[in-house]
Amino acid sequence: MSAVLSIEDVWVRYGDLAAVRSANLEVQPGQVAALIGETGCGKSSLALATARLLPANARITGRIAIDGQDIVPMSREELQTVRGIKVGFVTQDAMAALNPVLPVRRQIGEMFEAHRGRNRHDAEELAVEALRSVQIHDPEGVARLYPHQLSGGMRQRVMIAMALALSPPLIVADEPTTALDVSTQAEILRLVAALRHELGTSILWITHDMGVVAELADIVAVMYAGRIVEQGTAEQVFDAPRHPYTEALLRTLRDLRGGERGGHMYQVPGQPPSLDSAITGCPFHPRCERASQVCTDIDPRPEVSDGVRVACHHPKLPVPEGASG
Amino acid sequence: MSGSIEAVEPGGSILSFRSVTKWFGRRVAVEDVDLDLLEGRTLGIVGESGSGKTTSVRLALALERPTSGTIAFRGRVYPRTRRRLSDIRRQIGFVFQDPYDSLDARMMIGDIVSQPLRIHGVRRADAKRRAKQVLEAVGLPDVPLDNYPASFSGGGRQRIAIARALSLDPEVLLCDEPTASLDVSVQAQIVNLLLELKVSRRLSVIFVSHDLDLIRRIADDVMVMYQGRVVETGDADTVHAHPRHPYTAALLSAVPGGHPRQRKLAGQPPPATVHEGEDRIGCSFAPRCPRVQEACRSTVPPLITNEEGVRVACFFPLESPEVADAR
Amino acid sequence: MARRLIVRFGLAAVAVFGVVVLTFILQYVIPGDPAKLLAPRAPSAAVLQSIRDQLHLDRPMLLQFAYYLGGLLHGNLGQSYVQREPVTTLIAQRLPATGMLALAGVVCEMVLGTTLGILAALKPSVRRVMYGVNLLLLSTTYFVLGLVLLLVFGFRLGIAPVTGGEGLPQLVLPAITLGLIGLPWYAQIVQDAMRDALSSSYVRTAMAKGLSERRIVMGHVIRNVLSPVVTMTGLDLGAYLSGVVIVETVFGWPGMGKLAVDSMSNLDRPVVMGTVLVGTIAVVFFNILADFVRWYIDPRTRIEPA
Repeated sequence: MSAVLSIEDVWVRYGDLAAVRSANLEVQPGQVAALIGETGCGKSSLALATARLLPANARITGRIAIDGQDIVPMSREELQTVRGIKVGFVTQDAMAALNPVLPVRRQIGEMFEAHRGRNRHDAEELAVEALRSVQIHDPEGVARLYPHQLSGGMRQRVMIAMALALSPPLIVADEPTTALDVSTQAEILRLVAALRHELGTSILWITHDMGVVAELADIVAVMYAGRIVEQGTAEQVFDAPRHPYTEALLRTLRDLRGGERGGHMYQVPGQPPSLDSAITGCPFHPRCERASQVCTDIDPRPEVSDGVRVACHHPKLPVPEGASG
Repeated sequence: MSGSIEAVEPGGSILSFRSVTKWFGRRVAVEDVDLDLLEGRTLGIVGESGSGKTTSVRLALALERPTSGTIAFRGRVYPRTRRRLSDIRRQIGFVFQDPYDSLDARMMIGDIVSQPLRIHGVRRADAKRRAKQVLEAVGLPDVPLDNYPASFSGGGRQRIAIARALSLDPEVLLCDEPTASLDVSVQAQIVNLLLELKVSRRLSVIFVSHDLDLIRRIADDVMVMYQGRVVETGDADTVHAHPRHPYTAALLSAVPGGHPRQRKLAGQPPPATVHEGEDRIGCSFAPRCPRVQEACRSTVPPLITNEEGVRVACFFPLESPEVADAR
Repeated sequence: MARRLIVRFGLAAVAVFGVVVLTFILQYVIPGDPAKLLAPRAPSAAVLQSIRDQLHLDRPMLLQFAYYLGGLLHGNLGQSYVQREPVTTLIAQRLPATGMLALAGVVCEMVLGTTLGILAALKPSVRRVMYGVNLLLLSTTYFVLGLVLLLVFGFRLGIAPVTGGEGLPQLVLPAITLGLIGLPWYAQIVQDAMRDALSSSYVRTAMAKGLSERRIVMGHVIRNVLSPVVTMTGLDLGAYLSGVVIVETVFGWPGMGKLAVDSMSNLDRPVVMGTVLVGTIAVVFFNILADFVRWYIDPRTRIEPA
């Protein structure tokens, strides 16, 4: 089985600042991969890199293969045969991401014009079908509206319909539910779960909130300071986190949701390092409970065991079966 | 209309709303809301966009004036003139959601924090000294006062906003989703800070959020709002453990769980479509409610205190755990 | 929408009325006796008096204003003191020429400015050229530029007519003068709007859809750039229609500007008031028209605020 998305030793640099540092990630057909990290960890840069949508001052090195084709060396014209067709993109702020002066049917329809050679009329009918497929109740009506006339949840549905219009094998979703109300968020998650079963689309879902995608994710990658520090199946990462950063995040989340009322909350001390300075040793060592001399000196290389890839000198390995309580 | 309020012990309620209604044009943002912030306690207000929670905060800050009803601080009804309001305003500090929006990027940290003091007539030197003290209190002890907000991360900015809110040493702190735009690890830091400050500075706190789990973690009392009305209010633990209003239950089921694998999505989230409140006659949740019956569409259910001491505005509330267990 | 239209036109009417009142007062307080202008050489007191009676010049100001307003409502702008013809006739004679020049000038500045602005936003090399061109043009005036063009293309190269007139060949140089002086404003505004649009999230979405650069610029960017251009075009058309005094004078173009200036120096009150009135109506009208076009282009402006 060949991967839909294969990221190998990818670096993203803005001048001297390295936002993504040697990322490796594979997404298989039909899989949902969650890329989790906090502000400034490089997750959005990596997401944008997967469709070569980074601003002009960014430099990408490494290999990003979508359906087997490496997009890093591609020209603008070649990229037009990948974007929209092989990979759809959904962003956080749908209000800004949709063109304010064009009706919805135009914005979806133009994909059928550009890539499928349809005339405007046919394309706009296909756009209505695309809206219907994301369970919008009155697709004809919504198709005629402009973005500012839609609710936040509806705009995000339109974005999803647009990304799925040409049935690409991969969708990259950059915090698509962050700006939404809880109940709208839940609706969008349900929709994505349903569509994924129906269409078998692979999804790379970028988020800062593990809780949000836990329901959907097959594999989970945790980013810290430009690195993917831990990667494995959702069960492996969520139930037996090996990297201290993953463990700390999970513990914070658990405490935030379930801790004693009014009690002090578990928190990771300190701040993540800034990415424009040279980092010696493990980037997490100043905040890490397990840090030792080797962590200050040597940056840990990612090691794979039982399918989990961890970059840590002192990973917490799961207790062997039978020995656990 | 059963807007009657149980009597609160004298001096117990520091900030109170009585039958407060606010219209914006033809839209009602807050309708017949009673609220009591008790001294030394934290009141959580929960709701989604359009629930009226932000308008309630603006009303409490006297940034809006109620269309009808009264708001009182320590039993003193908010005066109508601006000048008289300043006495009340200095007793209420506020922290907004977006630490990027709420701090003026062209102002130095020292000026941001001491600005409320200057407005209330404190001399420059004293204001500066005071600014240093509150910055220390929020965990920014050695920050140079001539720095600009740009050199701070989201968490740092929110600390500055909290310092500004505390500069006048208010009795009440109003927080409108202060952690919603922050990373989880930073959220924990800010929540801890607020918990500490509440004790050390003897604050009474109103904490607005869309996240009922977070509210349970930090608030004593909770008030759940839906389309401008209070639908359920009472002890935060009790409401969280056994939600009685169908909307509260739906809201809880939509929040992602504490452990990522916790299946919180199993419940039915309320549909996201917002109905404009044109000539609302029945319960505002009726169009989305799984338990809806005829009565809900014709009459607005009053808030009624149940056997757990929680007040619920629903004709057909969910059963108490005892009743459910007995079956 | 209908309510907004009514309000818009109501405000426009108020503006026009305001200008009518103002010009009337101004003309009234300006010293000089129109009767002497109209009368033959060395008139007798009786002749002057009869002229004053005829023009109601001896009546109180308010009554004179009432007569003037009454005339306006009948489409009568009065009679020129100097040329002895109805003002409407004089203006009607000049309006086509001015309209032609205004239109040509606006088209010229819009096409040149917009093109330069778009190219400047897309290509850094063009951007540097644009800054140079803008600086040069902003530091010159209609008068200087007009004369230079006339000298170079008219007298030196001999490819443009140097004598006045209102034919198409005579139109070219004044239109280019208007266009070049207006160009920097368009170029700068278009460039800014283009760069905003190009760095916007919706253009990134368009890229993510795999659209060609051409489709992105034509389908997504241009529409968002048009709005400020339309506003400027409306303002300019109105302003030019009230007469481009200097350009018309330099090139001997028989338009409203020349008419206005001539009648001002002749104290020909009715003509001055007439040209000001027509100019005001033009400005107001094209502003409303620009609003309409913007409503069409940008759906966000169509919705009444909630």
